[in-house]
Amino acid sequence: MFSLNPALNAIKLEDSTDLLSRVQQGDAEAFCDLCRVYDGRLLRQAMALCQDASLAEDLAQETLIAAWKSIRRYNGRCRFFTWLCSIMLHRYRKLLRRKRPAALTKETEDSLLNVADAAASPATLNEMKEQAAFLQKCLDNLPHKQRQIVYLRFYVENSLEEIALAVGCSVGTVKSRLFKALENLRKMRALKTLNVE
Amino acid sequence: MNACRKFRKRIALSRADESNDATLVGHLTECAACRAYAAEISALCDAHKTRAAALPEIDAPARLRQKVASAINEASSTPWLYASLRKALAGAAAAALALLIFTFWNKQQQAPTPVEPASSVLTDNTTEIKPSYAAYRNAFSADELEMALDRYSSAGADDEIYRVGTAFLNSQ
Ligand SMILES: [Zn+2]
Repeated sequence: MFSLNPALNAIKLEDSTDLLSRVQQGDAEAFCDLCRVYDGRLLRQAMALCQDASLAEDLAQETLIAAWKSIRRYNGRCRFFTWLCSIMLHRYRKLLRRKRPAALTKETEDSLLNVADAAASPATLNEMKEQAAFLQKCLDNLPHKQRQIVYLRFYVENSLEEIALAVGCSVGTVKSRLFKALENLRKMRALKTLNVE
Repeated sequence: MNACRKFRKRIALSRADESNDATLVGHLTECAACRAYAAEISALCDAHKTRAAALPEIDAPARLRQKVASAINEASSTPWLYASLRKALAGAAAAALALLIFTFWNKQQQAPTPVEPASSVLTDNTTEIKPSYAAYRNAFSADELEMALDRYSSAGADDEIYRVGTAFLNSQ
């Protein structure tokens, strides 16, 4: 049986290269250790996408298992975390097709905001929650390929070159998709402003 | 205005990529419309970046790690099962593909009239709005927009608001 090693609680990202090569040789225990490096960050991104703690956990879990199954396909040309996020976006796309994420619960809304914002007034907090929900709704309404680019650019903070490597297309294609996505997001935003006024 | 169109992509990408496109400076200095567009795109990018930065740090719960570990253990201890499953799935996929090709071929034989391809409403601004949405286009009012936004919020109606919104904005 493979087990989780508690001593590996604080593995640093830079130490993960060695783990990764062991994982690619089929070492399942090394994969569990690698998960400890990335699962918190992955769950954070999953929470942003799903806006539901339980769905986010399922999504992160599915992503890690899918990553293990296709670990040999990771070619090291993009960051491992970017690769994980690409897998997660594909799983999320399926999730969106199956079922729209449920409306935000109070706890989830709060958990999506940084504790540093706790000092903000209730009105400001409310505004931030509404803004976050609206931004995610707009992302959900983008075609998958456009959502993927926007997400990797703004949430995973990849450069356009890194995105091209992760997605497997040219930088020119990334630029085209990003432009179309921004145009679509801009229109959605304009529509909202129009409605508010 | 037409001249501005060629600048839009470069403006948007320079804002999203935080890169400096020196060739834009001249045009932005003299064109208020493009300056407004640049500001709009900057605000949009900033909104997503701010949201991303505000996401709290999360420690993955032990149950997530346990679930992943057991799934991997299971997969590793029953490789034969996965191999057979994969073979079975590959067989099923091949059969499904064959069926699909046959059905398509059969339809082609029966109905020679080509089917109009579905176009992307999200990106193709020239797409004619379907008749069912014409009502929105012809009679936009605050109430109708509100109604559309309500539908947008509800499950399953995600594309409609977009069609409505795009049609409205294009008609301006
Ligand atoms: Zn201009």
